[in-house]
Amino acid sequence: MMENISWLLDIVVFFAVYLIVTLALNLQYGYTGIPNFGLALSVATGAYTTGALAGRIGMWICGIRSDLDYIMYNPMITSMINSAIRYDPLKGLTIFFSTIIIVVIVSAIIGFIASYPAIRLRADYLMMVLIAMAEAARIIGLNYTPLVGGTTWVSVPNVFIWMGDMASQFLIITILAISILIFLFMQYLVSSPYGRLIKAVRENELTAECVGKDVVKVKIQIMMLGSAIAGIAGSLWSFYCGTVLAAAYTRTDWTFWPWLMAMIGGMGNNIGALVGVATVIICRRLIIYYKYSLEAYIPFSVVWLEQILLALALILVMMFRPQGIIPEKPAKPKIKKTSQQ
Amino acid sequence: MDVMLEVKDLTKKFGEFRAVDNVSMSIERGKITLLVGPNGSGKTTLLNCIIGVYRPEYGRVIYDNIDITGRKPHEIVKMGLIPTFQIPSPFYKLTVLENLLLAYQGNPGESIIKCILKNSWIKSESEALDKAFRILDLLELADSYDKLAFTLSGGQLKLLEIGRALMANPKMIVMDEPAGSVNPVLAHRIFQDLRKIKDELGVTLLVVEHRLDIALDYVDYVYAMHMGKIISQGSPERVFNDEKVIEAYLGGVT
Repeated sequence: MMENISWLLDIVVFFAVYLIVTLALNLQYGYTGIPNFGLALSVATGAYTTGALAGRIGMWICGIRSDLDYIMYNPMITSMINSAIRYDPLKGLTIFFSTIIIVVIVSAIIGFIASYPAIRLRADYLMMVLIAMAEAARIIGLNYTPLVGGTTWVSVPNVFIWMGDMASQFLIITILAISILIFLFMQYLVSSPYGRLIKAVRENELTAECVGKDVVKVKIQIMMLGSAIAGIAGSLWSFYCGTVLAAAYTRTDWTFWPWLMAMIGGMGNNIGALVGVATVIICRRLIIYYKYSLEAYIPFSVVWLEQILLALALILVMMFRPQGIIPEKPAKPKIKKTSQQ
Repeated sequence: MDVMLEVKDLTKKFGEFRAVDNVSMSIERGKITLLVGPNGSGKTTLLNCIIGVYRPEYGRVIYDNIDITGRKPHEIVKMGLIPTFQIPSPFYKLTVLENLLLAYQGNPGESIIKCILKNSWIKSESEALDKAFRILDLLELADSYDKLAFTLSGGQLKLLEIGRALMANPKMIVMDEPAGSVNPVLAHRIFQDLRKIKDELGVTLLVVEHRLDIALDYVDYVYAMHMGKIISQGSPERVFNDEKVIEAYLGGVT
Protein backbone atom coordinates (compact mmCIF):
# COMPACT_ATOMS: atom_id res chain seq x y z
CA MET A 1 0.00 0.00 0.00
CA MET A 2 2.65 2.50 1.07
CA GLU A 3 4.67 1.55 -1.96
CA ASN A 4 1.76 2.29 -4.27
CA ILE A 5 1.24 5.68 -2.67
CA SER A 6 4.87 6.66 -3.00
CA TRP A 7 4.79 5.49 -6.61
CA LEU A 8 1.82 7.75 -7.20
CA LEU A 9 3.38 10.69 -5.35
CA ASP A 10 6.50 10.25 -7.43
CA ILE A 11 4.42 10.59 -10.61
CA VAL A 12 2.54 13.56 -9.17
CA VAL A 13 5.69 15.52 -8.39
CA PHE A 14 7.22 14.75 -11.78
CA PHE A 15 3.95 15.76 -13.41
CA ALA A 16 3.69 19.04 -11.47
CA VAL A 17 7.27 20.15 -12.06
CA TYR A 18 7.31 19.19 -15.73
CA LEU A 19 3.90 20.80 -16.21
CA ILE A 20 5.34 24.12 -15.07
CA VAL A 21 8.36 23.80 -17.39
CA THR A 22 6.21 22.72 -20.33
CA LEU A 23 3.75 25.57 -19.76
CA ALA A 24 6.67 27.98 -19.85
CA LEU A 25 7.88 26.44 -23.10
CA ASN A 26 4.37 26.47 -24.51
CA LEU A 27 4.08 30.16 -23.68
CA GLN A 28 7.39 30.89 -25.37
CA TYR A 29 7.17 28.64 -28.40
CA GLY A 30 3.55 27.51 -28.69
CA TYR A 31 2.06 30.96 -28.28
CA THR A 32 4.81 33.44 -29.10
CA GLY A 33 6.99 31.46 -31.50
CA ILE A 34 10.28 31.84 -29.61
CA PRO A 35 12.04 28.46 -29.98
CA ASN A 36 13.57 28.28 -26.55
CA PHE A 37 16.07 25.44 -26.75
CA GLY A 38 17.70 26.83 -23.62
CA LEU A 39 14.90 25.88 -21.30
CA ALA A 40 17.40 24.09 -19.07
CA LEU A 41 18.99 27.48 -18.48
CA SER A 42 15.90 28.80 -16.72
CA VAL A 43 15.37 25.60 -14.75
CA ALA A 44 19.03 25.55 -13.73
CA THR A 45 18.85 29.22 -12.76
CA GLY A 46 15.94 28.42 -10.48
CA ALA A 47 17.68 25.41 -8.99
CA TYR A 48 21.07 27.07 -8.52
CA THR A 49 19.47 30.14 -6.98
CA THR A 50 17.58 27.90 -4.58
CA GLY A 51 20.72 25.91 -3.75
CA ALA A 52 22.76 29.04 -3.19
CA LEU A 53 20.16 31.10 -1.35
CA ALA A 54 17.65 28.90 0.52
CA GLY A 55 20.28 27.87 3.06
CA ARG A 56 21.81 31.33 3.29
CA ILE A 57 18.40 32.90 3.86
CA GLY A 58 17.80 30.17 6.45
CA MET A 59 21.08 31.01 8.20
CA TRP A 60 20.05 34.62 8.39
CA ILE A 61 16.49 33.96 9.52
CA CYS A 62 17.50 31.35 12.11
CA GLY A 63 20.45 33.43 13.35
CA ILE A 64 23.16 30.87 12.58
CA ARG A 65 26.78 32.05 12.76
CA SER A 66 27.40 33.74 9.44
CA ASP A 67 31.18 33.23 9.50
CA LEU A 68 30.74 29.55 8.61
CA ASP A 69 31.66 28.71 5.02
CA TYR A 70 28.31 27.92 3.44
CA ILE A 71 29.54 25.31 0.98
CA MET A 72 32.09 23.59 3.23
CA TYR A 73 29.83 23.26 6.26
CA ASN A 74 26.69 22.85 4.18
CA PRO A 75 25.38 19.57 5.72
CA MET A 76 25.90 20.98 9.21
CA ILE A 77 24.27 24.32 8.36
CA THR A 78 21.29 22.59 6.75
CA SER A 79 20.70 20.37 9.74
CA MET A 80 20.98 23.41 12.05
CA ILE A 81 18.35 25.21 9.95
CA ASN A 82 16.15 22.12 9.90
CA SER A 83 16.24 21.81 13.68
CA ALA A 84 15.57 25.54 14.05
CA ILE A 85 12.42 25.38 11.92
CA ARG A 86 11.18 22.04 13.23
CA TYR A 87 8.80 23.80 15.61
CA ASP A 88 8.61 27.09 13.74
CA PRO A 89 6.41 26.88 10.61
CA LEU A 90 6.65 30.62 10.03
CA LYS A 91 10.42 30.54 9.53
CA GLY A 92 10.13 27.54 7.21
CA LEU A 93 7.49 29.19 5.07
CA THR A 94 9.46 32.46 5.00
CA ILE A 95 12.48 30.59 3.65
CA PHE A 96 10.32 28.80 1.06
CA PHE A 97 8.43 31.81 -0.28
CA SER A 98 11.25 34.33 -0.13
CA THR A 99 13.45 31.89 -2.06
CA ILE A 100 10.79 31.47 -4.72
CA ILE A 101 10.29 35.21 -5.06
CA ILE A 102 14.03 35.71 -5.50
CA VAL A 103 14.11 32.83 -8.01
CA VAL A 104 11.38 34.50 -10.07
CA ILE A 105 13.31 37.76 -10.20
CA VAL A 106 16.70 36.17 -10.90
CA SER A 107 15.33 33.83 -13.59
CA ALA A 108 13.53 36.67 -15.33
CA ILE A 109 16.74 38.72 -15.38
CA ILE A 110 18.82 35.78 -16.63
CA GLY A 111 16.18 35.08 -19.31
CA PHE A 112 16.48 38.69 -20.41
CA ILE A 113 20.28 38.63 -20.49
CA ALA A 114 20.45 35.29 -22.31
CA SER A 115 18.05 36.27 -25.05
CA TYR A 116 19.05 39.93 -25.40
CA PRO A 117 21.90 39.43 -27.90
CA ALA A 118 19.72 37.53 -30.36
CA ILE A 119 16.10 38.51 -29.68
CA ARG A 120 16.06 40.76 -32.75
CA LEU A 121 17.47 38.06 -35.03
CA ARG A 122 15.71 35.22 -36.78
CA ALA A 123 14.35 32.42 -34.63
CA ASP A 124 17.08 29.90 -35.49
CA TYR A 125 19.90 32.20 -34.36
CA LEU A 126 18.09 32.86 -31.10
CA MET A 127 17.72 29.11 -30.69
CA MET A 128 21.48 28.54 -31.03
CA VAL A 129 22.29 31.34 -28.61
CA LEU A 130 19.89 29.87 -26.04
CA ILE A 131 21.34 26.34 -26.36
CA ALA A 132 24.78 27.80 -25.76
CA MET A 133 23.58 29.84 -22.80
CA ALA A 134 22.03 26.75 -21.17
CA GLU A 135 25.28 24.81 -21.55
CA ALA A 136 27.24 27.76 -20.20
CA ALA A 137 25.00 27.91 -17.13
CA ARG A 138 25.63 24.25 -16.36
CA ILE A 139 29.38 24.66 -16.78
CA ILE A 140 29.39 27.70 -14.51
CA GLY A 141 27.40 25.71 -11.95
CA LEU A 142 29.93 22.87 -12.15
CA ASN A 143 32.99 25.07 -11.78
CA TYR A 144 32.04 28.00 -9.62
CA THR A 145 31.93 26.33 -6.21
CA PRO A 146 30.41 29.14 -4.08
CA LEU A 147 27.21 28.78 -6.11
CA VAL A 148 26.10 25.19 -5.51
CA GLY A 149 29.33 23.46 -4.57
CA GLY A 150 30.57 22.68 -8.07
CA THR A 151 30.88 18.95 -8.57
CA THR A 152 29.53 18.18 -5.11
CA TRP A 153 26.05 19.20 -4.14
CA VAL A 154 24.48 21.53 -1.63
CA SER A 155 21.54 20.60 0.55
CA VAL A 156 18.34 22.58 0.62
CA PRO A 157 16.60 22.99 3.99
CA ASN A 158 13.49 20.89 4.48
CA VAL A 159 11.12 23.83 4.76
CA PHE A 160 8.10 21.71 5.71
CA ILE A 161 9.93 19.75 8.42
CA TRP A 162 7.47 21.16 11.01
CA MET A 163 4.83 18.92 9.43
CA GLY A 164 6.65 15.91 10.89
CA ASP A 165 6.09 12.66 9.00
CA MET A 166 3.90 14.32 6.41
CA ALA A 167 6.53 16.89 5.40
CA SER A 168 7.32 15.29 2.06
CA GLN A 169 3.67 14.69 1.13
CA PHE A 170 2.80 18.25 2.09
CA LEU A 171 5.61 19.59 -0.09
CA ILE A 172 4.34 17.53 -3.02
CA ILE A 173 0.82 18.89 -2.55
CA THR A 174 2.22 22.44 -2.40
CA ILE A 175 4.16 21.84 -5.61
CA LEU A 176 1.03 20.47 -7.29
CA ALA A 177 -1.00 23.45 -6.08
CA ILE A 178 1.58 25.90 -7.43
CA SER A 179 1.59 24.13 -10.80
CA ILE A 180 -2.20 24.26 -10.98
CA LEU A 181 -2.14 27.96 -10.13
CA ILE A 182 0.39 28.56 -12.88
CA PHE A 183 -1.79 26.58 -15.28
CA LEU A 184 -4.84 28.71 -14.44
CA PHE A 185 -2.78 31.89 -14.74
CA MET A 186 -1.59 30.79 -18.19
CA GLN A 187 -5.13 29.99 -19.30
CA TYR A 188 -6.21 33.44 -18.17
CA LEU A 189 -3.25 35.16 -19.79
CA VAL A 190 -3.66 33.55 -23.20
CA SER A 191 -7.38 34.27 -23.33
CA SER A 192 -6.80 37.98 -22.68
CA PRO A 193 -5.98 40.49 -25.43
CA TYR A 194 -2.33 39.95 -24.51
CA GLY A 195 -2.72 36.30 -25.51
CA ARG A 196 -4.01 37.42 -28.87
CA LEU A 197 -1.07 39.77 -29.20
CA ILE A 198 1.55 37.07 -28.57
CA LYS A 199 -0.16 34.76 -31.07
CA ALA A 200 0.00 37.58 -33.61
CA VAL A 201 3.75 37.88 -32.98
CA ARG A 202 4.06 34.15 -33.65
CA GLU A 203 2.02 34.31 -36.85
CA ASN A 204 3.69 37.24 -38.53
CA GLU A 205 6.17 39.60 -36.93
CA LEU A 206 6.12 42.12 -39.77
CA THR A 207 2.35 42.38 -39.82
CA ALA A 208 2.34 42.71 -36.04
CA GLU A 209 4.79 45.63 -36.38
CA CYS A 210 2.56 47.13 -39.05
CA VAL A 211 -0.50 47.13 -36.80
CA GLY A 212 1.50 49.02 -34.19
CA LYS A 213 2.81 46.26 -31.93
CA ASP A 214 6.32 46.47 -30.52
CA VAL A 215 7.40 42.93 -31.40
CA VAL A 216 10.81 43.05 -29.72
CA LYS A 217 9.28 44.29 -26.49
CA VAL A 218 6.68 41.51 -26.50
CA LYS A 219 9.34 38.87 -27.17
CA ILE A 220 11.50 40.17 -24.33
CA GLN A 221 8.51 40.17 -21.97
CA ILE A 222 7.65 36.59 -22.89
CA MET A 223 11.26 35.44 -22.54
CA MET A 224 11.32 36.95 -19.05
CA LEU A 225 7.94 35.60 -18.00
CA GLY A 226 8.66 32.13 -19.39
CA SER A 227 12.08 32.03 -17.75
CA ALA A 228 10.63 33.12 -14.43
CA ILE A 229 8.05 30.31 -14.59
CA ALA A 230 10.58 27.67 -15.60
CA GLY A 231 12.78 28.97 -12.78
CA ILE A 232 9.98 28.27 -10.29
CA ALA A 233 9.96 24.67 -11.54
CA GLY A 234 13.71 24.37 -10.94
CA SER A 235 13.31 25.80 -7.46
CA LEU A 236 10.44 23.47 -6.54
CA TRP A 237 12.37 20.50 -7.88
CA SER A 238 15.33 21.43 -5.65
CA PHE A 239 13.08 21.69 -2.59
CA TYR A 240 11.66 18.28 -3.44
CA CYS A 241 15.07 16.64 -3.95
CA GLY A 242 16.50 18.38 -0.89
CA THR A 243 19.75 18.86 -2.80
CA VAL A 244 21.03 20.77 -5.79
CA LEU A 245 23.59 19.02 -7.96
CA ALA A 246 24.92 21.27 -10.70
CA ALA A 247 25.50 18.41 -13.14
CA ALA A 248 21.85 17.32 -13.02
CA TYR A 249 20.49 20.21 -15.08
CA THR A 250 21.27 18.76 -18.48
CA ARG A 251 19.70 19.64 -21.80
CA THR A 252 18.16 16.17 -22.05
CA ASP A 253 16.25 16.38 -18.81
CA TRP A 254 15.18 19.99 -18.82
CA THR A 255 15.09 21.01 -22.48
CA PHE A 256 14.36 17.98 -24.61
CA TRP A 257 11.84 16.25 -22.35
CA PRO A 258 9.65 19.37 -22.05
CA TRP A 259 9.88 19.84 -25.83
CA LEU A 260 8.77 16.25 -26.31
CA MET A 261 5.85 16.76 -23.92
CA ALA A 262 4.74 19.99 -25.55
CA MET A 263 4.98 18.54 -29.06
CA ILE A 264 3.13 15.34 -28.22
CA GLY A 265 0.41 17.22 -26.37
CA GLY A 266 -0.04 19.99 -28.92
CA MET A 267 1.65 23.37 -29.15
CA GLY A 268 -0.17 26.65 -28.59
CA ASN A 269 -2.63 25.05 -26.21
CA ASN A 270 -2.27 24.72 -22.45
CA ILE A 271 -4.60 21.73 -22.18
CA GLY A 272 -2.43 20.05 -24.80
CA ALA A 273 0.64 20.76 -22.67
CA LEU A 274 -1.09 19.18 -19.69
CA VAL A 275 -2.06 16.08 -21.66
CA GLY A 276 1.42 15.83 -23.16
CA VAL A 277 3.09 16.04 -19.76
CA ALA A 278 0.78 13.43 -18.29
CA THR A 279 1.25 11.07 -21.23
CA VAL A 280 5.02 11.30 -21.30
CA ILE A 281 5.47 11.15 -17.53
CA ILE A 282 3.24 8.09 -17.17
CA CYS A 283 4.83 6.30 -20.13
CA ARG A 284 8.29 7.14 -18.89
CA ARG A 285 7.60 5.98 -15.33
CA LEU A 286 5.98 2.77 -16.59
CA ILE A 287 8.94 2.04 -18.84
CA ILE A 288 11.39 2.72 -16.01
CA TYR A 289 9.53 0.47 -13.59
CA TYR A 290 8.91 -2.41 -15.98
CA LYS A 291 11.76 -2.32 -18.44
CA TYR A 292 13.78 -4.98 -16.63
CA SER A 293 10.97 -7.48 -16.93
CA LEU A 294 11.26 -7.06 -20.70
CA GLU A 295 15.00 -7.70 -20.64
CA ALA A 296 14.63 -11.32 -21.75
CA TYR A 297 12.69 -10.39 -24.92
CA ILE A 298 14.72 -7.43 -26.17
CA PRO A 299 17.96 -7.95 -28.10
CA PHE A 300 19.63 -4.79 -26.74
CA SER A 301 20.23 -3.26 -23.33
CA VAL A 302 17.00 -2.00 -21.80
CA VAL A 303 18.81 0.98 -20.26
CA TRP A 304 17.97 3.12 -23.27
CA LEU A 305 14.45 1.82 -23.74
CA GLU A 306 12.70 4.96 -22.48
CA GLN A 307 14.68 7.26 -24.78
CA ILE A 308 14.15 4.94 -27.75
CA LEU A 309 10.42 4.50 -27.23
CA LEU A 310 9.68 8.17 -26.53
CA ALA A 311 11.77 9.31 -29.51
CA LEU A 312 9.77 6.84 -31.59
CA ALA A 313 6.57 8.32 -30.18
CA LEU A 314 7.76 11.80 -31.17
CA ILE A 315 8.55 10.68 -34.72
CA LEU A 316 5.14 9.03 -35.04
CA VAL A 317 3.36 12.11 -33.70
CA MET A 318 5.29 14.32 -36.12
CA MET A 319 4.39 12.04 -39.04
CA PHE A 320 0.74 11.39 -38.35
CA ARG A 321 -0.45 14.18 -36.08
CA PRO A 322 1.96 17.11 -36.24
CA GLN A 323 -0.49 19.36 -34.41
CA GLY A 324 -0.27 17.10 -31.33
CA ILE A 325 -2.89 15.16 -29.41
CA ILE A 326 -5.00 18.26 -28.76
CA PRO A 327 -4.59 20.88 -31.50
CA GLU A 328 -4.88 24.60 -30.98
CA LYS A 329 -8.45 25.90 -31.18
CA PRO A 330 -9.49 29.25 -32.63
CA ALA A 331 -10.37 31.74 -29.90
CA LYS A 332 -13.96 32.79 -29.28
CA PRO A 333 -14.83 36.48 -28.96
CA LYS A 334 -14.38 37.70 -25.39
CA ILE A 335 -17.84 39.21 -25.25
CA LYS A 336 -20.98 37.64 -26.66
CA LYS A 337 -22.36 39.74 -29.44
CA THR A 338 -26.05 40.25 -28.82
CA SER A 339 -26.53 42.35 -31.94
CA GLN A 340 -25.15 39.54 -34.11
CA GLN A 341 -27.87 37.67 -35.92
CA MET B 1 -1.22 72.69 -50.77
CA ASP B 2 -1.78 70.94 -47.46
CA VAL B 3 0.94 68.30 -47.40
CA MET B 4 0.34 65.13 -45.40
CA LEU B 5 3.44 63.19 -46.33
CA GLU B 6 6.59 64.51 -47.87
CA VAL B 7 9.44 62.42 -49.21
CA LYS B 8 12.65 64.37 -49.73
CA ASP B 9 15.51 63.12 -51.92
CA LEU B 10 15.07 59.54 -50.77
CA THR B 11 17.61 56.92 -51.85
CA LYS B 12 17.59 53.25 -50.92
CA LYS B 13 20.44 51.07 -52.15
CA PHE B 14 20.74 47.30 -52.14
CA GLY B 15 24.49 46.88 -52.52
CA GLU B 16 25.33 49.17 -55.43
CA PHE B 17 21.85 48.94 -56.93
CA ARG B 18 19.71 52.01 -56.33
CA ALA B 19 16.20 50.62 -55.97
CA VAL B 20 14.91 54.07 -55.10
CA ASP B 21 17.00 56.84 -56.54
CA ASN B 22 16.66 60.36 -55.22
CA VAL B 23 12.87 60.39 -55.11
CA SER B 24 10.90 63.39 -53.86
CA MET B 25 7.15 63.52 -53.63
CA SER B 26 4.47 65.33 -51.63
CA ILE B 27 1.10 63.84 -50.90
CA GLU B 28 -1.82 66.14 -50.31
CA ARG B 29 -4.04 65.69 -47.29
CA GLY B 30 -7.43 64.11 -47.97
CA LYS B 31 -6.64 63.00 -51.50
CA ILE B 32 -5.96 59.69 -53.19
CA THR B 33 -2.51 59.70 -54.67
CA LEU B 34 -1.52 56.93 -57.05
CA LEU B 35 1.97 55.59 -57.54
CA VAL B 36 2.34 53.72 -60.82
CA GLY B 37 5.23 52.05 -62.55
CA PRO B 38 6.14 48.81 -64.25
CA ASN B 39 7.33 45.83 -62.23
CA GLY B 40 10.68 46.39 -60.58
CA SER B 41 10.48 50.17 -60.72
CA GLY B 42 10.95 50.55 -56.95
CA LYS B 43 7.38 51.27 -55.83
CA THR B 44 7.28 48.74 -53.03
CA THR B 45 10.78 49.65 -51.84
CA LEU B 46 9.71 53.27 -51.64
CA LEU B 47 6.67 52.30 -49.56
CA ASN B 48 8.80 50.16 -47.29
CA CYS B 49 11.07 53.15 -46.70
CA ILE B 50 8.06 55.30 -45.84
CA ILE B 51 6.56 52.82 -43.35
CA GLY B 52 9.88 52.08 -41.66
CA VAL B 53 10.54 48.53 -42.84
CA TYR B 54 13.67 49.74 -44.66
CA ARG B 55 15.95 52.50 -43.52
CA PRO B 56 16.85 54.70 -46.49
CA GLU B 57 20.49 55.62 -47.12
CA TYR B 58 19.74 59.24 -47.93
CA GLY B 59 16.78 61.53 -47.70
CA ARG B 60 13.96 62.17 -45.28
CA VAL B 61 10.34 61.20 -44.83
CA ILE B 62 8.19 63.87 -43.21
CA TYR B 63 4.74 62.79 -42.08
CA ASP B 64 2.35 65.39 -40.70
CA ASN B 65 5.29 67.76 -40.09
CA ILE B 66 7.19 65.12 -38.11
CA ASP B 67 10.39 63.54 -39.39
CA ILE B 68 9.77 59.78 -39.29
CA THR B 69 12.87 58.63 -41.19
CA GLY B 70 14.31 55.51 -39.60
CA ARG B 71 11.57 55.06 -37.02
CA LYS B 72 10.25 51.57 -36.41
CA PRO B 73 7.01 50.52 -38.16
CA HIS B 74 5.07 50.18 -34.90
CA GLU B 75 5.93 53.75 -33.88
CA ILE B 76 4.83 55.05 -37.28
CA VAL B 77 1.57 53.07 -37.12
CA LYS B 78 0.79 54.60 -33.73
CA MET B 79 1.03 58.02 -35.40
CA GLY B 80 -1.75 57.02 -37.81
CA LEU B 81 0.23 56.05 -40.91
CA ILE B 82 -0.91 52.51 -41.69
CA PRO B 83 0.49 50.20 -44.37
CA THR B 84 -1.21 47.35 -46.19
CA PHE B 85 0.73 44.75 -48.12
CA GLN B 86 0.83 43.64 -51.71
CA ILE B 87 0.72 39.98 -50.73
CA PRO B 88 -1.93 39.81 -47.98
CA SER B 89 -0.17 38.89 -44.74
CA PRO B 90 -2.84 38.36 -42.13
CA PHE B 91 -2.27 36.38 -38.96
CA TYR B 92 -3.15 33.14 -40.70
CA LYS B 93 -4.04 30.99 -37.73
CA LEU B 94 -6.17 33.64 -36.04
CA THR B 95 -9.78 34.33 -36.89
CA VAL B 96 -10.90 37.19 -39.12
CA LEU B 97 -12.28 38.97 -36.07
CA GLU B 98 -9.03 38.59 -34.14
CA ASN B 99 -7.12 39.94 -37.11
CA LEU B 100 -9.18 43.11 -36.92
CA LEU B 101 -9.13 43.37 -33.12
CA LEU B 102 -5.34 43.25 -33.19
CA ALA B 103 -5.25 46.38 -35.29
CA TYR B 104 -7.25 48.32 -32.71
CA GLN B 105 -4.91 50.85 -31.10
CA GLY B 106 -4.58 51.45 -27.41
CA ASN B 107 -6.25 48.38 -25.90
CA PRO B 108 -4.87 48.26 -22.34
CA GLY B 109 -5.37 44.47 -22.32
CA GLU B 110 -2.36 44.21 -24.57
CA SER B 111 -0.06 45.23 -21.75
CA ILE B 112 1.46 42.29 -19.88
CA ILE B 113 0.49 43.81 -16.53
CA LYS B 114 -2.97 45.17 -17.29
CA CYS B 115 -4.15 42.04 -19.10
CA ILE B 116 -4.46 40.39 -15.69
CA LEU B 117 -7.07 42.92 -14.58
CA LYS B 118 -10.08 42.27 -16.75
CA ASN B 119 -11.79 45.47 -15.63
CA SER B 120 -9.05 47.56 -17.14
CA TRP B 121 -9.55 46.27 -20.68
CA ILE B 122 -13.09 44.98 -21.00
CA LYS B 123 -14.51 48.36 -22.05
CA SER B 124 -11.88 48.94 -24.67
CA GLU B 125 -12.31 45.38 -25.90
CA SER B 126 -16.04 45.82 -26.39
CA GLU B 127 -15.50 49.09 -28.27
CA ALA B 128 -13.01 47.27 -30.46
CA LEU B 129 -15.55 44.52 -31.10
CA ASP B 130 -18.22 47.02 -32.14
CA LYS B 131 -15.83 48.74 -34.48
CA ALA B 132 -14.61 45.44 -35.91
CA PHE B 133 -18.17 44.31 -36.70
CA ARG B 134 -18.96 47.65 -38.34
CA ILE B 135 -15.93 47.24 -40.59
CA LEU B 136 -16.77 43.60 -41.31
CA ASP B 137 -20.27 44.67 -42.36
CA LEU B 138 -18.83 47.35 -44.61
CA LEU B 139 -16.50 44.86 -46.29
CA GLU B 140 -19.17 42.15 -46.43
CA LEU B 141 -17.03 39.82 -44.35
CA ALA B 142 -19.33 39.67 -41.33
CA ASP B 143 -20.39 36.09 -42.05
CA SER B 144 -16.82 34.88 -41.92
CA TYR B 145 -15.90 36.57 -38.66
CA ASP B 146 -15.03 33.32 -36.87
CA LYS B 147 -13.17 31.71 -39.76
CA LEU B 148 -9.42 31.33 -39.59
CA ALA B 149 -7.78 33.79 -41.94
CA PHE B 150 -6.05 31.12 -44.04
CA THR B 151 -9.44 29.75 -45.13
CA LEU B 152 -10.40 33.01 -46.88
CA SER B 153 -10.18 33.49 -50.63
CA GLY B 154 -7.60 35.79 -52.21
CA GLY B 155 -10.12 38.60 -52.73
CA GLN B 156 -11.41 38.34 -49.16
CA LEU B 157 -7.84 38.53 -47.87
CA LYS B 158 -7.40 41.79 -49.78
CA LEU B 159 -10.53 43.11 -48.08
CA LEU B 160 -9.30 41.92 -44.69
CA GLU B 161 -6.05 43.76 -45.35
CA ILE B 162 -8.04 46.97 -45.94
CA GLY B 163 -10.23 46.28 -42.90
CA ARG B 164 -7.16 45.95 -40.73
CA ALA B 165 -5.90 49.32 -41.90
CA LEU B 166 -9.28 50.94 -41.16
CA MET B 167 -9.33 49.43 -37.69
CA ALA B 168 -6.11 51.19 -36.71
CA ASN B 169 -7.46 54.78 -36.64
CA PRO B 170 -5.73 55.79 -39.84
CA LYS B 171 -4.92 59.35 -40.79
CA MET B 172 -3.18 58.05 -43.86
CA ILE B 173 -3.07 54.59 -45.43
CA VAL B 174 -0.26 53.41 -47.65
CA MET B 175 -1.58 50.62 -49.85
CA ASP B 176 0.56 48.33 -51.92
CA GLU B 177 -1.65 47.05 -54.75
CA PRO B 178 -4.96 46.82 -52.87
CA ALA B 179 -6.51 45.51 -56.09
CA GLY B 180 -3.55 43.46 -57.28
CA SER B 181 -4.26 39.96 -58.56
CA VAL B 182 -8.04 40.24 -58.26
CA ASN B 183 -10.48 40.28 -61.18
CA PRO B 184 -11.35 43.65 -62.76
CA VAL B 185 -14.88 43.71 -61.33
CA LEU B 186 -13.67 43.30 -57.76
CA ALA B 187 -10.78 45.65 -58.47
CA HIS B 188 -13.23 48.39 -59.46
CA ARG B 189 -15.28 47.66 -56.34
CA ILE B 190 -12.19 47.94 -54.18
CA PHE B 191 -11.33 51.33 -55.69
CA GLN B 192 -14.94 52.51 -55.24
CA ASP B 193 -14.75 51.41 -51.61
CA LEU B 194 -11.48 53.27 -51.16
CA ARG B 195 -13.05 56.41 -52.57
CA LYS B 196 -16.00 56.00 -50.17
CA ILE B 197 -13.71 55.36 -47.20
CA LYS B 198 -11.65 58.41 -48.07
CA ASP B 199 -14.71 60.62 -48.23
CA GLU B 200 -16.28 59.27 -45.05
CA LEU B 201 -13.22 59.12 -42.82
CA GLY B 202 -11.20 61.87 -44.42
CA VAL B 203 -8.09 59.73 -44.64
CA THR B 204 -5.29 60.33 -47.07
CA LEU B 205 -4.42 57.44 -49.35
CA LEU B 206 -1.24 56.55 -51.17
CA VAL B 207 -2.03 53.66 -53.49
CA VAL B 208 0.30 51.59 -55.62
CA GLU B 209 -1.18 50.00 -58.71
CA HIS B 210 0.36 49.03 -61.98
CA ARG B 211 -2.83 48.60 -64.00
CA LEU B 212 -3.40 52.17 -65.10
CA ASP B 213 -6.83 51.66 -66.71
CA ILE B 214 -8.48 50.49 -63.47
CA ALA B 215 -7.19 53.21 -61.20
CA LEU B 216 -7.66 56.08 -63.62
CA ASP B 217 -11.14 57.20 -62.54
CA TYR B 218 -10.61 57.09 -58.82
CA VAL B 219 -7.45 59.02 -58.08
CA ASP B 220 -6.61 62.67 -57.66
CA TYR B 221 -2.91 62.82 -58.38
CA VAL B 222 -0.42 60.43 -59.92
CA TYR B 223 3.30 59.81 -59.62
CA ALA B 224 4.93 57.50 -62.16
CA MET B 225 8.12 55.68 -61.30
CA HIS B 226 10.59 53.90 -63.49
CA MET B 227 13.92 52.37 -62.51
CA GLY B 228 13.86 54.00 -59.11
CA LYS B 229 13.12 57.52 -60.33
CA ILE B 230 9.98 59.63 -60.60
CA ILE B 231 9.53 60.13 -64.35
CA SER B 232 6.23 61.94 -64.41
CA GLN B 233 3.67 63.48 -62.09
CA GLY B 234 0.41 65.36 -62.31
CA SER B 235 -3.25 64.70 -63.00
CA PRO B 236 -4.14 61.13 -64.07
CA GLU B 237 -4.84 62.10 -67.70
CA ARG B 238 -1.58 63.96 -68.00
CA VAL B 239 0.56 61.18 -66.58
CA PHE B 240 -1.12 58.40 -68.53
CA ASN B 241 -0.59 60.27 -71.77
CA ASP B 242 2.99 61.14 -70.95
CA GLU B 243 5.28 59.58 -73.53
CA LYS B 244 7.90 58.68 -70.96
CA VAL B 245 5.34 56.66 -68.99
CA ILE B 246 4.03 54.86 -72.08
CA GLU B 247 7.57 54.08 -73.12
CA ALA B 248 8.45 52.76 -69.63
CA TYR B 249 5.48 50.41 -69.74
CA LEU B 250 5.97 49.24 -73.30
CA GLY B 251 9.73 49.28 -73.49
CA GLY B 252 10.51 47.75 -70.13
CA VAL B 253 14.12 48.14 -69.06
CA THR B 254 16.03 49.80 -71.88
